[in-house]
Amino acid sequence: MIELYHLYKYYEDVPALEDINLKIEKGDMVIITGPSGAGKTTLLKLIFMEEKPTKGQILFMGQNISNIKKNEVHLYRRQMGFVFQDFRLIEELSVYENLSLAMEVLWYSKKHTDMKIRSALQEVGLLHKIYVPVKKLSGGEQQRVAIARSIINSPPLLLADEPTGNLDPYLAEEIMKLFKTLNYRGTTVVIATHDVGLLKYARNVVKLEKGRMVP
Amino acid sequence: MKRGFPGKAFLMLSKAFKMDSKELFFFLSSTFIIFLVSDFILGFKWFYSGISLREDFLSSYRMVGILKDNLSEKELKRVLTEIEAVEGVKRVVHLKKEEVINLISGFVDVEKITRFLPDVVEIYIDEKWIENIENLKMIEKSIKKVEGIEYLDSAKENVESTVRFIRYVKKGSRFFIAMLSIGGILIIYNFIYLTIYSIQKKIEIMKFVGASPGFIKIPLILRGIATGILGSFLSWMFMKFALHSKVFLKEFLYLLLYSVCAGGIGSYLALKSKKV
Repeated sequence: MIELYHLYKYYEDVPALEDINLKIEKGDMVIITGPSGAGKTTLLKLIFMEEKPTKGQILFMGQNISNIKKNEVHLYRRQMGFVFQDFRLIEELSVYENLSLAMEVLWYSKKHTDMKIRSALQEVGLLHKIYVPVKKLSGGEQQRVAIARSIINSPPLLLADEPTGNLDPYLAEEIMKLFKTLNYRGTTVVIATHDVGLLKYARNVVKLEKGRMVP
Repeated sequence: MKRGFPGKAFLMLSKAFKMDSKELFFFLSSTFIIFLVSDFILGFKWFYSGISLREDFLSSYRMVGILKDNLSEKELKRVLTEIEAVEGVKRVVHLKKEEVINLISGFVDVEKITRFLPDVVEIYIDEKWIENIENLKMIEKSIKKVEGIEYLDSAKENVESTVRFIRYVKKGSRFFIAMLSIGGILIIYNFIYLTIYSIQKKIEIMKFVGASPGFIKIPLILRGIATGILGSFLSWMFMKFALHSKVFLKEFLYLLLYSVCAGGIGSYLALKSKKV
């Protein structure tokens, strides 16, 4: 699904990633781990096309996306879901409205949107909170809404950057179980975390240190 | 917090327009400012063209020539023909002594001066010749050469100062219109800039969920254009129906065209500078 070849990323002259070679198969569940500043987030940003690599190649489903044009990025992003540590939800809006934003950009009909939102919320166990404003939800619930948003269009790839970083250990386990369930259903999941306690959920682990892969 | 009627109405309006309250506030306030700007633009346009200062002056200006006494019919005809032949002269009107008396009877005691009154000619000049004082001097010189003209009053000093005044008014109005037009673009730029700032998180989320650049940009550009159109339409309505000004459809259409361009340019610049 994702292949990285001799990937480098420099911020001015400071190396963030150096010579990364990685292959993530379809249906895999990979956890990228390492201390702060190891380059975990940078790696996810490169896969998500938020940033361009300084050198090297990224293949997504066989297509080279390392030098993709700015106005084509959205076409690839529609095949990926992204979950952030800080949830990135609009707090003033309800769960439904937050999720419908992800459907609006694809011009889905209201009926189809409604069906998809309900199905995604069902999957994360939050259907009963569909019309509740996001600000009234707990941290764990907000993260589940964010996950529901990321899977609403059934993307084959799900990326998560420290998805449990703002949650207590119990909720973190819950969220990881949710990722595991999604992975069992066929979604490729790539998670960046510094929490070594969560590695048990991974099929494959990638360790990063100072921007380099370590065995 | 309990909301009063204005607060509720504002919330309802923002839901109807699918904007949050900040966005709606920016939209309404910038529409109001564009309304004021458009009103000033129309006002200045009206000031330099609507009052017809230039046209009124140019169409009513004429030189007055006093004819020599006891001109025969044949000589009079020759004089009029020669004056009409001078380049720049539009038409010549011959006023007999009696007609002159009629004209001035309201101002002077005609009984006392009747016997001194001569026949006169009013010489109307082509409008494009009047604005250049050198042309006027040339016409004056040519007419004075005509045999039978006793005296010619061209009032060229007055013409010079009036033409200069009209030119200043025109230039000043054009300057203000240009400034206001640029101001309108900057206002829309600022409004869209603030709107982008207030919905930055939403834009970021939309990008993450796969929104195309057009999906994000086009509504913002349309919002800028809508602000311009709405503001100029309101100002046209205000000028026409509240102030009963002589603002025609043509002016409105120009204003509309301007507001569409201003809206488009302003929003495009804001999107560029915010790197959306």
